[in-house]
Amino acid sequence: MKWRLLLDFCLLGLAGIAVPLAAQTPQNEAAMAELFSSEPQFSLKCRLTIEDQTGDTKTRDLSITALRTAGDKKFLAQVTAPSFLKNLKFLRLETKDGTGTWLKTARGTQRLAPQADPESLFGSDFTTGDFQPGSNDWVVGVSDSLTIVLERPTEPRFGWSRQILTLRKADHLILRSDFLSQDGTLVRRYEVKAFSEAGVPSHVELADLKNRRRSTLVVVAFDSAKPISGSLFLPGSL
Amino acid sequence: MRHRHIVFLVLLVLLGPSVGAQEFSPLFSGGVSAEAGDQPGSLHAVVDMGFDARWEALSGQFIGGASLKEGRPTWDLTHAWLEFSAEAGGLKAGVWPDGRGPAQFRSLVPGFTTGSGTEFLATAGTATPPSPGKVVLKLVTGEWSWTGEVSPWRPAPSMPDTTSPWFPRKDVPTSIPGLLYPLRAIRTVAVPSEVGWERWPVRSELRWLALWGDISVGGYHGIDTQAFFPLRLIYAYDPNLLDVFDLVLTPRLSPVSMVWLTLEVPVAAGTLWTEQRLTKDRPKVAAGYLLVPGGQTALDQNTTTSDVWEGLWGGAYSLSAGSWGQVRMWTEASVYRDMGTPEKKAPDFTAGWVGGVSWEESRGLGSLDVLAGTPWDPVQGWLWARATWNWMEGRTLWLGVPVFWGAADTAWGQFASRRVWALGTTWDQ
Repeated sequence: MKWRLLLDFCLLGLAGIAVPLAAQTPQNEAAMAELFSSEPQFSLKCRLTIEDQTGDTKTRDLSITALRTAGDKKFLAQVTAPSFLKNLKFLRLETKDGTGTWLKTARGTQRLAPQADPESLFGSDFTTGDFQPGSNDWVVGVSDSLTIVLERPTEPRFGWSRQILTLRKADHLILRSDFLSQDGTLVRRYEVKAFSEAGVPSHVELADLKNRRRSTLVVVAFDSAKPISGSLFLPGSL
Repeated sequence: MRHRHIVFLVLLVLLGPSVGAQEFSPLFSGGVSAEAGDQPGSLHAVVDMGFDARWEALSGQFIGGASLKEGRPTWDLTHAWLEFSAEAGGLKAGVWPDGRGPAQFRSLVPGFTTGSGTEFLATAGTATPPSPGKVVLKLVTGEWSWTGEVSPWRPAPSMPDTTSPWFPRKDVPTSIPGLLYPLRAIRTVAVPSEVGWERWPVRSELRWLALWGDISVGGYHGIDTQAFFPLRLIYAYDPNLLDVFDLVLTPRLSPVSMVWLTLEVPVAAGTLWTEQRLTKDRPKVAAGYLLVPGGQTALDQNTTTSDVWEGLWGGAYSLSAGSWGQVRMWTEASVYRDMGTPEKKAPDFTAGWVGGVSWEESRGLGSLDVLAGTPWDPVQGWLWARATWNWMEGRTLWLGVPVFWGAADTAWGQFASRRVWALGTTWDQ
């Protein structure tokens, strides 16, 4: 079974619309970037470990489900353990008519405005902003035969003013995403740390280097064959 | 009765793993909070235990436990429900707390949910709106959903204990013309929760939830969820009889009908919402007293009904403070227009405002909340601040301080002289 990486979780708007490579621009290279599998549907279970400056850790077991149909992308992440956090959910719907994002926390379910500032996901270093559609100002960096490197300026008030994205050329899998401050210091990094035997990422890390903390995701189960119902992704059911 | 509850709860937890669930999670939670000030303080404690489980399309949750509220122990099943989920919707039956709306404590689900502002303040925002057991049928097709609810019980009227510092004493007269003595003793009367099937509350709501926003229309018919406690004055007071009270508060269970329209739209970096609600035959106090027939020397406060329009407009905005966390702001303005009664045609109009700012550390290590509200006229209101520290995973320590202002004969001003603070801890496993 061929599946590419995880992490529809972060980092870019994922248009996922096939475009002939020859016609690709940096913008749509970025838009095609994949963090989880590019299969039409998949579900996975993973363990999120959140480590703070002192080395203390917290863990959450997550269930992540994604479904793609013509022009539509649906993504649901929910905490399955510990039990008292079970109601935490993140839902993102992307259709030809627009995009909607909902976050269910202990304070209730809230719809996130399209231009809302990013919020932490489940207390980790991953944020809702990591799912927002990518901008159109990517430029090609130093690429080689295996990777594509893209760069873009970012909103500096979040602590970084430049993002450098490294994609695997063959499948546009995100291998690394670096966030640099105005003086060029690396302050945040997403990186694939390990791959499974099938050549897909099984361990990824998002490090907040400025605050010396990090969040890691280790995939424990992946299934792209089991049918997934579209009713899982109804905001009214959160 | 209490022992039966305990045995039931223990059985639930012990037998839980053997019910053949695909997923089974035991749940334990506890909390202690103390409320103190210039009046006698009170202690609240809650210990809950239970489990949730899933069997294919069926899931359920059973949580109950003991609580101590203002010195009185109670035993409750707070969550006891079963839900069947299918592609086209689901059916859920049992007891569970209703969720709150986007403005943190104002529910956008009129109908069954009850709750009072004083309860919210007294528990530093931790109070869960009580809800009676009910059956909910939900049908979903695409962006449309329809929800129907019915309950064999009435919503519980909410009134703080007469000894509570949150008891609304400004609404209680201290003397009555014609009586030679001041009113001293007060008691409230509990009413049975069962109602006849012909008075079962029913609720129906049609919702369209699209990417651009969501809109819903709904209706409710049943007992009014706004607590209404008309007074009964015991006229022939005998100070030698300890069981005789000057004043008795009995909740009036009056049926009302309401319809509403809600709209929520994300705009740029924020969210806007509105709710418009019409209520027919809401009971209220009228001038004068009526002699209670039947021999007892007592007077009942006169009551009447009127139709009411409630309008609410709100907005929320969330701002990232980077690794420092998140700042959320929201505000709501509301109007309450009493359309008048057969005796008094002129409508009454009141307006109010509530708003809040909260900061939450990016890792969820702590939060600060400040909420405030005022009815605008007369000048009175409340402000409430709470600091929360999540010192360990699932362990929380919080401190809440409410402040009130206004004249002593106003709804919030009556609490202005009170210096109250609340300290609490919660534990989840």
